[in-house]
Amino acid sequence: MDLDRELRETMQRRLADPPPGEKTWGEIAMKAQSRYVRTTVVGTVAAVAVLALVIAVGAPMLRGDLAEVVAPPTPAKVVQTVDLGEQNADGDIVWDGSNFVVGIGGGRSALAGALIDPDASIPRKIDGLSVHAEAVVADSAGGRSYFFGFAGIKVVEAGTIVATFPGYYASPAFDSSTGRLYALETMTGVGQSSSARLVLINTQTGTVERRSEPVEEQGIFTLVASGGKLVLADRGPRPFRVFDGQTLEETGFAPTNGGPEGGPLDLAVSPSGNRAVVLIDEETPVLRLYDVAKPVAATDITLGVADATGLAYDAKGERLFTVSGENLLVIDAASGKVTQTLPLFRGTIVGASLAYDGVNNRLGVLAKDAGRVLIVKI
Amino acid sequence: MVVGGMQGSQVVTRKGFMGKLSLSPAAMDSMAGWFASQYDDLRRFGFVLSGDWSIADDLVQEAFVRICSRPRRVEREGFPAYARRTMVNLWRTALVRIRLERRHATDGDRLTAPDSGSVAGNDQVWQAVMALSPQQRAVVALRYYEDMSEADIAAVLGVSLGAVKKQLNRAKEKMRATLGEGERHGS
Repeated sequence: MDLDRELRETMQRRLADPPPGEKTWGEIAMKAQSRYVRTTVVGTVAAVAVLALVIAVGAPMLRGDLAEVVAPPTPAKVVQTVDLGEQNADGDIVWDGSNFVVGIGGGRSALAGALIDPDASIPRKIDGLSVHAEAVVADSAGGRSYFFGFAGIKVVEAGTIVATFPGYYASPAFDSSTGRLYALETMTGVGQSSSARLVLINTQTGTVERRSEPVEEQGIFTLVASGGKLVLADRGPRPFRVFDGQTLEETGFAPTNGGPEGGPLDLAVSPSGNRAVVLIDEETPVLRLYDVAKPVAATDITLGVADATGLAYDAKGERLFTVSGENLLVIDAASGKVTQTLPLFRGTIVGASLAYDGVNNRLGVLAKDAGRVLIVKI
Repeated sequence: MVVGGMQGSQVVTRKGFMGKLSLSPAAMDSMAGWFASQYDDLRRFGFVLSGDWSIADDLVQEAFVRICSRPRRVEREGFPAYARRTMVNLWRTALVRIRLERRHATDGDRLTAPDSGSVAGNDQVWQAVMALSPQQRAVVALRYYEDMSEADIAAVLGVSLGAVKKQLNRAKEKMRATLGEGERHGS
């Protein structure tokens, strides 16, 4: 059966003769005007009230929480460029304690995973990975990386697959402080959408040790584990959620004021697990810093750039990194100030994944559309 | 408190301080133009997302209501893409609400959420489309009804080209599986 042709014909047939529309522009314009007035008035009153409260009570407390040692402004520079030979290398980069490791999804890529050797300009292919490998996380203390895909979980050490576990999971996360491996187990839900459970996976056997209650998600989420906590960023009524890394019970959530077209683009959690930052798609990109323990949104950093992609903390949680256009932005995590703008290469980086090498103080940047890895000495 | 009203396609606004509580007349004129030219296309897109013409109408209305207050961003990103992306997100949010309402509904008070089966009738391919996730339906609608390239779909939905390819591949795999099962049951 030619599915493409069937789909075109079915769409044309089903949509050829719609019933008359129920809405008029006058009705919509009145609703829009009414909603705008309500939002403006309520928003202004709320903003004034919150501002007064923050000035009176919250500001001294927040200053104390966020006061960290400001990193010295060491200039970063690109020290290695690796061409993956794959345009549109949609995937992740991680640091396994010895090497940067890249996992590429997409299904048509010949290079599902690769190690980036120091000083090399071409990647070292990891043989035996499924072309459907979709996500990779790393245990930087144990020197392992875990590739998740349709063919199960592949455990890789020094570029070689040492174990394969069955099971299909999404959005893996690894907590280097506890050695725990997590993922989302997708469940079929009502209404053609889905919910999921968090699962704790035994790293020796690949079996599921614990499952959480169903987690409502709206399809765009990131899961990060650090400092014994799991943080999930999603679009929806509970967009920032914190789970206990042992029991998988939700310990708190924080709302955001993102609009319907906004949402979290990326999430990073500090190595201590105490702070997190969500890259949010607003009118311009915003970094929203969270106190994970409470949890509460502590402050927003407006980057003043048109777009941003990728997010990572350094090993001490002092600096944040993101990519905008052709530049790497180095941000002081305490003050929110951009301390350095480093051109990576000519051309806009549309999608990036970042990983920090805490041993050598380097940042790995996977420029997805360009199919290139750039190693930056921080 | 009424601060503006409609007169034909023109928005009448008060001057002075209260005028600040009105949407920009120029923006509303622009939106009226988009409504005239895009309403039918957006309804069809909403129908593929939801499988229900009434819900499609509501999705289009809510998208317009929200978009009206963000003229700068619409101008930057282009109305057709912005509207479709907003509709996809609205429908996702609606599905979550529907699931929660169903969970709390008593047996005698079941909510009537869109039922893909009854809407789809006997068309197996359409039923397979209705079994897809909202994002997959959006990608399929843009690819096979609006005939967009994968790059254009990525721009419209604000995701990477790789994500579009992945969604499209998964959607087709799922539909093939659904249709295969249907054929087996039918044989």
